[in-house]
Amino acid sequence: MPQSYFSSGRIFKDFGRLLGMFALGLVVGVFFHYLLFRLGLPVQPFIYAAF
Amino acid sequence: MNASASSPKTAGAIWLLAAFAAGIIVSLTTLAVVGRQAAEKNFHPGFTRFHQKIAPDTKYYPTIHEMMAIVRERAAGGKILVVVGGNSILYGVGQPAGHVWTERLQRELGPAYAVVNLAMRGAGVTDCAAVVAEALRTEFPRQIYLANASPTQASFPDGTPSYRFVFWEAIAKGLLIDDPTRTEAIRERYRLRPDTLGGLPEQRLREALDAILSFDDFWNRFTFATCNTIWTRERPVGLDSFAPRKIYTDNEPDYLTFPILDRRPTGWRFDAELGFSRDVSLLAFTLAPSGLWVPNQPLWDALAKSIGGAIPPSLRARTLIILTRNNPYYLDRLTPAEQQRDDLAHTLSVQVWQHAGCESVDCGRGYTIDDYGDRIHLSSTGGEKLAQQIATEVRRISTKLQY
Repeated sequence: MPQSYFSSGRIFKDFGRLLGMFALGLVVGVFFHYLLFRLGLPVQPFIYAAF
Repeated sequence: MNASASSPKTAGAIWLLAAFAAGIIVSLTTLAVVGRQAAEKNFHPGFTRFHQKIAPDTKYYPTIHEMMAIVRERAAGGKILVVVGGNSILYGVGQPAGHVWTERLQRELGPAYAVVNLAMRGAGVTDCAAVVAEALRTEFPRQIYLANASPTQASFPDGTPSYRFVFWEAIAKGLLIDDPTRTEAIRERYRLRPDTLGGLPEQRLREALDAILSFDDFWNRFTFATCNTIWTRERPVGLDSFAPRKIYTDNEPDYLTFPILDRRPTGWRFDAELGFSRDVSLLAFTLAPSGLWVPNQPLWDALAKSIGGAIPPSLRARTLIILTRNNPYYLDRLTPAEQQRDDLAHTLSVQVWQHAGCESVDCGRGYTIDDYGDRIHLSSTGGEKLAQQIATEVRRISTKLQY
């Protein structure tokens, strides 16, 4: 007799995968947020000569 | 059969994708909210000025809210706000922490005033501090904005290219006055000087995104208080490069400790600096056959027009423009006619600013060679003189505006 979705433990496996993807999304979001900040900055700093 | 087998797989993939997207959305939303709160309160304890380790010189770009928070904390309790903008002269290059002219100005004015030095190297009249003061016009109606300029220096309506990020950030966040004259002046600027447009569309897109996601406020605070995330050649390497910016102190050198030859050069350096001193008023006047200096009118008209487009009319009465002079070490070596032309340029410039509705004062007349560290920057002693002179002006304007 096949085990049910719950009793076979697949629910935990699938939930774990969902949680993993959610966590990955969180990390990618943070990285993207930083990227928006960082890529908008000038490559060269403003060099102060004499003003 | 294939369809029934792939259906659960497809559904599973969609759920995984949805979880991934939800993670991104939750992450961005949380960071945006935290970022917005990050700059609500001042995170620069004991702020004196944006020294090089927390300035664009080392790729640290203060945000408008970050600067507004500094001002709010300093001016709390109903003080009259004095926001100092302008360039390295008012920043206090060559004046070490504890001897900066604005600290002296604060002492001169007393606790009823709050002096905040937001001047930056190479900045103009309309840069960072001007934007901050304008953004706080309603919150702090009793305010005076100071900046310095050279006699014929026109003002960019949206700031100099290095610092216009503050203006466009404030525009994106709806913090500035909607002034049609300024809007037209900005259009004209980029129509006449397309070479200065470089990077502006990207800048505006960035600021529009930042108004939603607050990444500048979040990462600036993180960089300042927790862990550096912007690396430059001027900073340490290795693990030390991760040190938060807050650990760096204001280590501006003291001009008065420099060798005398550095402050009073000879040879080619002297010749070059003398030439720069001469150039201050070179194009401002022409010598008539009668021996009188005649204003080069198009240049002065351009200055007057630039003021009209740069400063909204309602802000002009509380704006004090300081016309700073060059070191007498050089001025005294100009010909008598050139000295007269330099004097006239400062006098006429004051009149042009005043005619536009701003306050203006000519500073540096009567300063000694030791009051300067180089051709243009003041030493601590020059800073003291400037503070005394400006304190008088600030009190006069406060009385005039019934503060």
